[in-house]
Amino acid sequence: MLDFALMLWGFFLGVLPLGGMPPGLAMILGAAVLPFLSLAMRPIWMLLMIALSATTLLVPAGEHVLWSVLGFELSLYYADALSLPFSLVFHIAAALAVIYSWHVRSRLELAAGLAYAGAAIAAVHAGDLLSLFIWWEITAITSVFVLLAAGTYAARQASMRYLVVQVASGVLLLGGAGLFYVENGHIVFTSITLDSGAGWFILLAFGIKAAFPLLNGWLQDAYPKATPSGAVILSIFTTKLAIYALARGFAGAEILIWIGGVMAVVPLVFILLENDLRRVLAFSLNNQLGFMVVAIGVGTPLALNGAVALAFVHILYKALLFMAVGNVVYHTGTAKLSELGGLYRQLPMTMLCCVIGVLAMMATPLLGSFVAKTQIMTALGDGGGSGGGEFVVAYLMLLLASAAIHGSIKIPYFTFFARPNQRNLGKTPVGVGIAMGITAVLCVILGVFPQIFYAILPYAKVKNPYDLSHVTGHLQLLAFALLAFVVLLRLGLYPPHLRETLLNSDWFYRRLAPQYIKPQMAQILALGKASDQRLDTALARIIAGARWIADHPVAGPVIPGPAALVQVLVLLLIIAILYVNLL
Amino acid sequence: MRLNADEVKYKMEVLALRRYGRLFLVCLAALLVVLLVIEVLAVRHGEFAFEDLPFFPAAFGFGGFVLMVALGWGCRRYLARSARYYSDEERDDDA
Amino acid sequence: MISFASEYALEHAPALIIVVPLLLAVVAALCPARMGYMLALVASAISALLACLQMQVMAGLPTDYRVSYHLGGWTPPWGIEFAVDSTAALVVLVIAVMGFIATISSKQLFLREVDGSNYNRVYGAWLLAFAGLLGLVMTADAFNLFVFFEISSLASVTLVAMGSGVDKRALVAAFNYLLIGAIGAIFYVIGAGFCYAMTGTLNMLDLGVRLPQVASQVPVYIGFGFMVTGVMVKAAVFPMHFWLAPSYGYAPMAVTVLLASVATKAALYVLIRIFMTIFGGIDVLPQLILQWALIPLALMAMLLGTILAIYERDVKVMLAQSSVAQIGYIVLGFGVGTLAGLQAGFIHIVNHAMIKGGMFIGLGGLVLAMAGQTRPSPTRIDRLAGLGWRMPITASAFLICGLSLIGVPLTAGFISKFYLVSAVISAGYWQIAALVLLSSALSVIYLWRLVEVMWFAPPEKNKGARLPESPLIYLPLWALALANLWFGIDAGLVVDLSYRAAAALMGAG
Repeated sequence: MLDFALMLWGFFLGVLPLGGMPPGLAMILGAAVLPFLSLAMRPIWMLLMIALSATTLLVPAGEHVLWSVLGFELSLYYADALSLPFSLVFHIAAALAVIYSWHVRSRLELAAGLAYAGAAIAAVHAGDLLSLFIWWEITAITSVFVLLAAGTYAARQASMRYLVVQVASGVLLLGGAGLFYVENGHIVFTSITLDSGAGWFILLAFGIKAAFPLLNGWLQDAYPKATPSGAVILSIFTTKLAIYALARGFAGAEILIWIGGVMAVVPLVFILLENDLRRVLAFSLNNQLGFMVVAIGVGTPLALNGAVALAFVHILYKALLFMAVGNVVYHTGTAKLSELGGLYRQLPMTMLCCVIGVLAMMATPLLGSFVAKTQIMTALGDGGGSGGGEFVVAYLMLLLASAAIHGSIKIPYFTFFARPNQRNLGKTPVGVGIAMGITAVLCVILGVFPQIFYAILPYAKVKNPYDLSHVTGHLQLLAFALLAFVVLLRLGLYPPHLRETLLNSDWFYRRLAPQYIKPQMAQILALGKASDQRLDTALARIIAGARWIADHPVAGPVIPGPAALVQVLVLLLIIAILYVNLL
Repeated sequence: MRLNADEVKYKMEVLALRRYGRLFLVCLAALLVVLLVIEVLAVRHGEFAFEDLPFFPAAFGFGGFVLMVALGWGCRRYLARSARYYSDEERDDDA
Repeated sequence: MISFASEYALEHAPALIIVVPLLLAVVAALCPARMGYMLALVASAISALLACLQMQVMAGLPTDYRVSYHLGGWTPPWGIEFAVDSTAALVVLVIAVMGFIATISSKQLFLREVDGSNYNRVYGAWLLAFAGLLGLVMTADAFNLFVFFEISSLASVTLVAMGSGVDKRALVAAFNYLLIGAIGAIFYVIGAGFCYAMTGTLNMLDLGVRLPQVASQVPVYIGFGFMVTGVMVKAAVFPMHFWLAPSYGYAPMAVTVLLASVATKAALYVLIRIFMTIFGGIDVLPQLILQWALIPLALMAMLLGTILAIYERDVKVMLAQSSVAQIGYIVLGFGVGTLAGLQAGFIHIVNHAMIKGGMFIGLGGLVLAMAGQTRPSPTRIDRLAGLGWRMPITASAFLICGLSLIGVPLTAGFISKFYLVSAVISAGYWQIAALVLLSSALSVIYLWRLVEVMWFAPPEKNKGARLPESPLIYLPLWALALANLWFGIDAGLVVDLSYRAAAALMGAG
């Protein structure tokens, strides 16, 4: 079997010249081969495929692969300064996720995860809307399989909903692309304006994947139900792909500032209240995305630098957090804060990595996110200097978010401290520890040596965050928010963690539509009864007929009598149309 | 009062946690003091005019956090439902 | 000798394509049962070959070239004419080739459903239906059309009734199909009668010339209404499609393969031919009906067909309901009325034949392996549990056809949807394009249910043993699946032929 795999790889290596192969394609093709490999070979094969795909990072910017089909020129491999940092971080994060998943036996999860990563990388290099759509849909479908690999009933149900939402995003993208083509005559993926229907469709499509307010239900629904390694992989790609797409297509769109502001503030409430650790992480993901979306909305080079930088480092520290929490779930079987505590002795490394991840989320100085968020906040300030009042409000919203995010200190506190824990836990798999360690180190390096960061950002303008006034200002924010946390906890005013469900935007399609609309319809009908008896019976008959048809799908005028009646009706319809129009 | 091995371990653990907690609080207090001193001594600029007010980030940090917690209590009243609300959440094991 | 034979064949191809199956139908009915399959295979092979040759010849000629074959040497418009232009050649090709492929797999599929001693009669009816449908497409005489209408209907009814060996509901379904089809045919012949009364001719081209001269009189419109309504029944356009689901659902699997891939296509061709050729000379009439009647009905068919498919428990009936939706797409393409729209309609005629043919052959293969049991109905969706793992060859080809059905890129179905949506948008109806995309998205639901049952059923169903897969089923099935992929990646041939077909139709009308 190994020979077969290597022969196949040799075939690809020989047939497709390295420079000409779209990045990520190697990973997708490699994923198809994966199920045939032995257990030990799988992670090595995955790393090989990632490395093969990563060689494209050395290729200079420009148009590389064009494919003519159906009268369109599809730009399958377009590299420029914006796609480079995303491609780089996707490759790094994919490699880290593979190391983390070294012990995973599920072939489905590994293959789907690899293909998912490859498709996301390819999507970042799509130069036109159609190719973007193709990779967009492939990421959607492969991520569903990653989610399904968890095998639980809840995961299956969630993956159905997730599939529908992601495919809807793809369909909207396709529709928007079609409209765009009709309006502009080409499908090249550059700046898209919002004064046409096409722009709104595409914005909506991007917004679903970027977890805009009211469109974010799938994120908090699906990510907690994956396996520990599955959650790591899922958290890396979909949302950041959407951020990339927004940065390329809608940079400077003012509405994004408001959308991002809401995204940054609203999830904070849920972060404070939620009991399930992974839901807390999902909400905090949403919150951090809000920062990026606001920055994209501002649109200046500094702001876009900030958005890209934050996306870059966010992938790393969010993956780190999912890794740490995943390890806790792996050992204890639960992610509920109401039942965890005191694990610092049994899982010291995990605790350390979790703390680093949370500090990164709070944008502590000396970590990469501090550098990134500084760019964003400065850009808001700069924009506000020349623009109007709107940036002040946005700035305040982000500042509030930066303050309240310190509630995420509850993640390490309630998991690793708070209460004594008498559990006996097994050994952590080696890959898990190594992956967490490397990721944590990367987060720190990016903070201590921001020059590395600046080298890969798309624009030249950066602000140095390490000046006294900025550092102390931010540390004040951090320290006093932590103080507030401690005080509230001591006074018993901090909301306790209960086993409850907090309603999120997925409520609309999980509960409202199925359960409430039907009785509402019945109530509306009952209102009609007071006014007109005959109308009421007619309506009831129609609904009963519809319900009967739904229960007996082969029904309808099957028997000749009513069928002939229908036929005559259609005939009369046609003749009537002709009569009215022509005579 | 006779205690068995498990209860002893438990109480030791509680004491250890308390120790770490106190350590954390001491560090935090030290940080707070340092920051307050710097605030008094050095000049700090922010992005906007209102940020330059003395102790603004401190107040904003503390106040912002308390505000969100208060909002949290309010939201919990309207948004909380039972754990079995969607009936597929608690089907399997805990995770 | 050989070149003489082939020249003769080419010259008389229009007639031979129909006459060979027709004659062999009679022969098959009289022969011992064992020979039925071979005769059907030979007849359909000959027809398919001739259809390919004919298409090859037509492809080399200008788009508006029309071969006129005079039956019996009588010149039209007094004699009956078989006319083959680019449009007819394309549809004949589809019917003949799909009929041949359906015939290949039919024997295995009939194995459990029809008693062996009946094979001669069954194949006789099979060839009659085949010949009838081909004749429907090739004839250029309005009354001859009615004759072929009836031939194909009656033969199809017989075939559907053969399903009574497994499920008695087939008899009821066949009976209803008979009556509803008969009423449709009667409507059609009444309409043809009106046209004959107004113009004195039955030849389609001649009608096209003479009708505009009497266009202002009421009987012309009444005749139009009757003809169109009658053909719409056979073409299963909403709301006269209700006979489709039970007939296809309870017929033997091989019969469903044949009917689902070709029967409605012939009628759709006749429908658009009536619009464009017979009544094409009258200025505003076709566009009016196309826009105000066909398009709304097509939209209803698309949405309703998909929604009913979602609620259906029996896979055969589910696929039949989805056929209703697919017919809606074709009618929508025709209804848009532009060259691009007609082209899109023809593209989908070709692709859908491949898709549905493949899916039904695949389904037949899957069901065949579930030995013997008939209660509950063998095609209920839960009977397919785990078959994805136990019959990988058949199931994967079935999946490819299914992906083509919902329009996944790189499959033929995507090409159809793409051209359809382009045509609709360039005609200005972007809301309709949204509905097309919506129904596509909904169709993912019932396909996903199939995928879920076949591959992701709860573990106790995957008993693991591989089930026997018959080459006579999976070879034609894989041919169709590969064709789907091929024409999804390089659709040039289909697109070109459809363009020629649409151009010929619009040029003539």
